[in-house]
Amino acid sequence: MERQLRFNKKTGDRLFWLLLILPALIIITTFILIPIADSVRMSFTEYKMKNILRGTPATWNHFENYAKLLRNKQFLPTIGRTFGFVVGVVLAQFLLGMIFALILNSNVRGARLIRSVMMMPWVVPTVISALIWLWIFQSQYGLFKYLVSVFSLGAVNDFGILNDTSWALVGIGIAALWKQIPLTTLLLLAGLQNVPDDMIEAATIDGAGYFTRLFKIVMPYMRSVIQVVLTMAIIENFKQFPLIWTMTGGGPSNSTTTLAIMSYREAFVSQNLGSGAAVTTIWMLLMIVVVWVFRKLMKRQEID
Amino acid sequence: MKKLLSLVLALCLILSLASVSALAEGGKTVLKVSNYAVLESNYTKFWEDVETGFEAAYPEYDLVYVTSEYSQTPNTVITAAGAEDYCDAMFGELSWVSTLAYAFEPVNDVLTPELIGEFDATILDSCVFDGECYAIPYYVSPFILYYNKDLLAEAGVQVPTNYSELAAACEKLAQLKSPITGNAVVPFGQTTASVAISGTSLTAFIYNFGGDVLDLETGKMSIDNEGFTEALTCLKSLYDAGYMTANQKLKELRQSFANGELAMYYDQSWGFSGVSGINPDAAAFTASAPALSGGNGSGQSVLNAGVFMVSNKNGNAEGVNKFIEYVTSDEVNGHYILDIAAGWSAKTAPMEVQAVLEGATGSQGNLKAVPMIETLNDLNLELDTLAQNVTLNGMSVEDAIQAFKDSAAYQEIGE
Repeated sequence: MERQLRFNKKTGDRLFWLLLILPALIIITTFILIPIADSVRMSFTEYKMKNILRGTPATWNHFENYAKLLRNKQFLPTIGRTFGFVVGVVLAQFLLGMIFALILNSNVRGARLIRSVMMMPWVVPTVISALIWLWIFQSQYGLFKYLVSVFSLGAVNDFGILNDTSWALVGIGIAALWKQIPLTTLLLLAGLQNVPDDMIEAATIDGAGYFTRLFKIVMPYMRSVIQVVLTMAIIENFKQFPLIWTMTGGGPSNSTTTLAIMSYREAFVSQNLGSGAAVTTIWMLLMIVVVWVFRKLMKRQEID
Repeated sequence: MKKLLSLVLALCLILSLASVSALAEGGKTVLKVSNYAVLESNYTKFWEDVETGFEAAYPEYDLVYVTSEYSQTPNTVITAAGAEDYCDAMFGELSWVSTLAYAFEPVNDVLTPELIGEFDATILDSCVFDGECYAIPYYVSPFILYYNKDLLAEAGVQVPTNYSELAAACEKLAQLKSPITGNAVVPFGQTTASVAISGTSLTAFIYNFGGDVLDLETGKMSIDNEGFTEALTCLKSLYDAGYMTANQKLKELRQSFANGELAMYYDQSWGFSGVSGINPDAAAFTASAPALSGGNGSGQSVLNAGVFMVSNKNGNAEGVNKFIEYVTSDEVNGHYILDIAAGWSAKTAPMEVQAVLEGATGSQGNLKAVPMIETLNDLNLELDTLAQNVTLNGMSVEDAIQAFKDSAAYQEIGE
């Protein structure tokens, strides 16, 4: 009888647990898993905008969308450009965010005010940020061109960063950093403030210098925060679309075409949803691999 | 308290639903017209007046604008149509016809022959997609040359009529400073940024030289012609000589022109409203000229137009006819092209045009259509990349054309 009661209690607990996670499960399945599965299915079909308008179903075309992508001479350079953009921006974002967080954590005067003011770029909608930077970088009358001219003592007078195929992605990177560094700084600052003071004091008494304390005590204590910050930054920049589309539309000469831009162009400019879904699927797989590798690396460091 | 608040909210909901039903019971038929221009400050008042005027003339209809930002409009309309939420009419660009044709219907299936007969048959021909005419033109807006009279006078040059004269004029204009900002003057502007309209403008540039991009009959790619190569060679030489800035959007060129920093540039005729929106005094120094001729070309431009697409998918053909009749009436259409957006009438009966267009008179008759193909957007973006390759990227014209052919083949443009 007692056993029966225990079993029932266990089953009841399980049912209650299931009931609690059911809403989340339904939402994730409906809004994330099913759309992803549908997108992957769509990537194996010929499915264009006219299919939607005419109400005709997609037709299965096996791997044709993927085969076509591989025939595109722009595809591999686009993958390389996407990785270059992610690595460059994430590293700069982390370094600058860490420097700002350390400054704000050092009881500098007006730290609260600086913290509030520096959150402004993060609050500004991405498209608005893109338009602001577009004007700053404008090749004829932009502020950036003027500054380059002043700092080069008049040696460089016509530098339009978004007009230069070698520099355009850097220009977008600068805009991305302006937008993303505030949140990174805030998260890292929260992590810094959780590092126990007694540990720092003990290390200082033992004669540890500033950098030794930073790399041997502070950073290891912040590992979980750093992991979250970097994971968020990788994902954010991997899927960066509005900044690039608004500022350059993928040009000039495709020099800022990343996988996000290519996916949009295939799906909504070429109106080929099947082909767009193929780019998205590859893009999603690459992002999963990158985040997985990154988390493995962080885990290994933790074990070490 | 919470219960009371919930009760009040529920009552509000019931009252709003009741008021909506009352509207429906009022016997008015709702006409849904997609119109991005309502959101653009230069045009808002005009379209609001159209709404008021139409509803006053036809009280049985309730005209509702479906608005979205310009570049998002085609996708918004397609998405809604995919859910069988159709617009009765849409105001848009001629180049959108191939994209949106399936969301609307051929004009012959919706509008009366008398109404269609009021429009220029040649312009109607350029609205043909898949063998059917899918749009009614509202105004004709070809790419013409806008120039700054004061700067040309200061440089002591005449308005050029061909590209050789342009190059000679640019040499002198490049020495000037803007009287408004004091910055150096850029002599010439041709949009080449990565947006579809730049591609249309580049097609016009190629037409100036008598070149082709697509075969008019078959819609297939047709770029192995002298005019196409000459146009790109000219573009490259103007850029290499420092007479133009590459990778500029039309709105950036308008900004520079309005600030007196650009001596002349190509724009659609209605683009002048953008310039005068930035600098209301621009009318004093702005004049227009027909597109220049190059090579064996006669300075032909593309036939570009603002159009209405129509549909009877909601069973509102009668209302759609009345709306198109009202909005294209001499009074409303005439007011639009005379006071709102510089352009020429698309109707057989002539209408008065803005004074700024006087210099470009004749441009509306020297036009060539762009065949409506499904991959028109891709073509335009690839043309932008081609222009960027010969200018910013420093590629030779031959190499850039080969790269263009490769990309066009991948995109299945004109196949």
